[in-house]
Amino acid sequence: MDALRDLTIEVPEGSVYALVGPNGAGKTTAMKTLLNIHQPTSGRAEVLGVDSRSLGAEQFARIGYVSENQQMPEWMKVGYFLSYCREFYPEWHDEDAAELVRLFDLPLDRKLRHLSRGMRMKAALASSLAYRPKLILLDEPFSGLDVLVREQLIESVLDRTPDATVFLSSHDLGEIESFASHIAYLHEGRLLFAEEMASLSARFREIEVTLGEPAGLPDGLPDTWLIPEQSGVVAGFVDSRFDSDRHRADIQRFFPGARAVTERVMPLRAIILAVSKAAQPAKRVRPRSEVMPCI
Amino acid sequence: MHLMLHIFKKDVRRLWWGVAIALLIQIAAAWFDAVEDVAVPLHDLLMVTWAVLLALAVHEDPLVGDRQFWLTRPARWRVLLGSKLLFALAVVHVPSFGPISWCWRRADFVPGNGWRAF
Repeated sequence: MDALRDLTIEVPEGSVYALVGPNGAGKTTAMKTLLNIHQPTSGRAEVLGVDSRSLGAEQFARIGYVSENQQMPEWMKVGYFLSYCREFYPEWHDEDAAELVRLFDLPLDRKLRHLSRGMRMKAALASSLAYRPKLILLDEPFSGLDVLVREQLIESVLDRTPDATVFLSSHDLGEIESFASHIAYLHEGRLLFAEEMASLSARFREIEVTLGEPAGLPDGLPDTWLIPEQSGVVAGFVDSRFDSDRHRADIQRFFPGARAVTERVMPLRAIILAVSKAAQPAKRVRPRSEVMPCI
Repeated sequence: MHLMLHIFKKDVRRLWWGVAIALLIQIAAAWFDAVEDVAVPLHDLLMVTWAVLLALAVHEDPLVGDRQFWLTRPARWRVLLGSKLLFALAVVHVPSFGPISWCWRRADFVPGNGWRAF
């Protein structure tokens, strides 16, 4: 079984790129492939201009990686942990490390194993930002953390490394929406979409059509209309290729007796839910090669 | 070399108690051999202690798995291997020279003399 298939993403330099998807979608595998922890059986990944399979110390010195399930040297005290990491990086900045310790309120004399989950993530982040990496990979960095800690982590990543490219995976859609510039959605190892956040928001609309009288949903609805449903005189769907000019004509064609049409801008959470729902039922009736809706 | 030493120092810091125990056993074994001339199973115990110590040192930066901290740091496997070999050298081999040379001295054995006899 392939963990990832047909996955093509180009992460623009300087972007904040979010990789989202349900559990088991392949987000962590994608991250680990980029870091040469896993090697692709086919295809390739290029990181900082180098094939991921050839990543060496020179590249790792410019990559910051923080993962929710990374094994940390738990016996180390925070202060020693930071000084241990320091020696690995020629570009380590003591003043940045000190600032991060102050910002995160890290207790230097406490062992990592005695820290809360949030504090451990902060320590890991401090050890990964103090050398001002060019690429920051964050694998589910916010899961299980309270809102304040999440906010602090996001701010510190964005403020302290403004030139870095950030590639992160997360379940926290609300949080991502506030700062990601690009988003990609993985479902069962396949990419359903990858684009700029602004264009994603622009092309998704929740449509509600009020009909003159109850009637079944017409046949031949466009594939880009996701999860169509009808209840009484109200039909609804999510248009994944919303175009205001074409939209009215399409509504007239499929719902000639429409009395009113409302279009709602969708938050990221609603878009992802619609895409997930659209991807799931199709799987049961059609072979895998045909399951993906036109998103 | 710098990173190799750095990781080695980290391992010694982490396993200092094991290093200390191994040294104590080694000194005791040499004492019983040379002074008391009593047969005690300290050499076997020393072997076990060294084996455990080396295994612990290797497991400080585990080789198996995909979640290890060191995998994404700019130290590759050669550096790691070198640091573990250095640990074995420093903790097992170098300390052995002390008790061995002491035993030789007590037995009036000078290694060079054997060669000169030829």
